[in-house]
Amino acid sequence: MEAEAEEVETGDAAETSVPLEGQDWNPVERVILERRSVRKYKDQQVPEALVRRILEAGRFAPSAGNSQPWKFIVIRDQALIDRIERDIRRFCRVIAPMLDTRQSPLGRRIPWLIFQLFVRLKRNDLGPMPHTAIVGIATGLFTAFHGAPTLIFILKDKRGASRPEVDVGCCGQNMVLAAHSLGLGTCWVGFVEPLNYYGPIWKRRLGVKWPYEFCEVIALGYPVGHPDGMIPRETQEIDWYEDGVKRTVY
Amino acid sequence: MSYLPWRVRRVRPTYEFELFGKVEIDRDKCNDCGLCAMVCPSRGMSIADARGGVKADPEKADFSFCPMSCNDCAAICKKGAIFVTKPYDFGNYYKTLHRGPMVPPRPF
Repeated sequence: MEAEAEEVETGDAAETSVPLEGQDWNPVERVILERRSVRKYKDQQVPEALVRRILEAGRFAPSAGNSQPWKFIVIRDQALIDRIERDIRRFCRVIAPMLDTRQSPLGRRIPWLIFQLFVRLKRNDLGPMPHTAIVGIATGLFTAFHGAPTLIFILKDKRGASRPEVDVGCCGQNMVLAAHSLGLGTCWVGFVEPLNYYGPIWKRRLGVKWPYEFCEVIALGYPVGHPDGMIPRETQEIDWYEDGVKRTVY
Repeated sequence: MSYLPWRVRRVRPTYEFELFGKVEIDRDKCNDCGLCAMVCPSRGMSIADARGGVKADPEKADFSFCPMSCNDCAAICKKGAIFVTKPYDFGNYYKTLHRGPMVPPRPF
């Protein structure tokens, strides 16, 4: 693979391109590869100008038919964030005993039955991590928004072309990468999606009316320490079709 | 046509603890700064004073319950003393398919 460094043609417009194969990462690749989700923030608030820049990066994300099916809500009001956290905690305290077979006061069988029902109805919501998060938030081990001083809600417009969730993902990741390139920390919080149906009062309070729905939140702030860095991660099987041959690479 | 036989697909999802990821700390390199336990998304799952945001003692951290194998601990460690040795296996909930070994970014 790196036996000789060859001239590799990169696109004409790539100012950050790297001409030699196998050479060190360019700044954009470095931001992408060193990004880690941050769940420990300083109290210091992010300057408004930086948040505006990050939203600009989101604004220029690609979307199906350029429909841009998103709307942003920025919340930096600590009292309001605390209220949302408090409601999420209350909700989790009600739900956790119904689902947690390990330490529920309802015993083991009832939560097990409820869990078996719900995991067939809403399997994606009850993955091991969301399930752990519900119990963890209920017991106070962690908070939904990780104590971040700024929250960026990305609402999806349900009428968006094709799949607006995917477009929200592109928009959010643009913002995340811009934030990390500015030395900030971010964390995706998908836990707001249940608020659409379990916490409709918050749709009213935050003015989220049809055609918008809660989709994702990006927690933003100055990270404690230097959490970004390159790490090993699972390789995945890739089917590679070229010149009439199919290979499998990792 | 499916990568998993229907017998496997219809199995009820469960969260077995044995499938959690494994994290190893190289004690020779570790300087006990506690940053790994602080940054772990699950707070190492069992640190009493993690709620206060205090740098926790990695001795108290129960890294045998690595829930996501995110490697945040490895990223923040300045000494390179901690790393995920076995990624989290979702078990019956989500059978991981088509994965290879854990490797850092490769510039090819």
